[in-house]
Amino acid sequence: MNGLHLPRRTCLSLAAACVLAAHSARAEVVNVTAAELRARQLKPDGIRLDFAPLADTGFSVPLHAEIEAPKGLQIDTIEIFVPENPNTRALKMRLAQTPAHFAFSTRLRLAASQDVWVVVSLSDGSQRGLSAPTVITSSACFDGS
Amino acid sequence: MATPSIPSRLSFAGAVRPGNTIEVRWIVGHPMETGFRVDDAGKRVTRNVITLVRVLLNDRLLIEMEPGTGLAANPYVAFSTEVPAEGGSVTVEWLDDAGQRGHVQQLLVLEK
Repeated sequence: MNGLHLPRRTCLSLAAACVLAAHSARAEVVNVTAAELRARQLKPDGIRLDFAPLADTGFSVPLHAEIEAPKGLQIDTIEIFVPENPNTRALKMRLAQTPAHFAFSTRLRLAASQDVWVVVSLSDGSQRGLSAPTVITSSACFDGS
Repeated sequence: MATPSIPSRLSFAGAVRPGNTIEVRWIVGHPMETGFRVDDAGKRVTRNVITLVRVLLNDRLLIEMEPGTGLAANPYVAFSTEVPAEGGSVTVEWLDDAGQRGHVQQLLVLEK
């Protein structure tokens, strides 16, 4: 038989590469500017942000958020945007079990003083959003890029 | 099993009782290289950030996260979740740009 014979290891490597390539395509960089976020005119209803108004460095700035969906709706996704960073989406969370209430904490890397945004997508397709300002005395970017 | 050079920890805060809301805390010792930094020789350091995190509660997907370069080095994420009646376990899996993967699991031992 003249068919193509590939070793099992090669087949597995190719399969893994395909899975990773599919993931890489999905995890593409999403950049949204502060002006675009403001233009959406998102309502802040049900979002509470606890964010330091002043931070010594931008390397690790803690953020805490609590989100309460309007009655009858659930939370689908939560995105954190840092518009003054080179890549503006810091984190996207998709909540598989779509709760009505959700709280989370994380730590952000900030290139400059800016308004940090939390944008929530609800089960009816609508969005809510709230921003909070912070002043960074030392940037997380060394080289000015 | 987590990649040996990259430690990861998963813990809970609050009373682990059925129906109770607890905080799940996950931290991983990952450098989260942004790809914008240059080394002492002036050479750009290759981007390597965690690009996908999946949190499973009793083997069912709870949260899927897509971190970016705006997440601090040694990423920390804590979130609220309800303890199921039967207890069980929480698992966190991650994948980075370099293809490294990690996995950490913690049992939800019900308090009396």
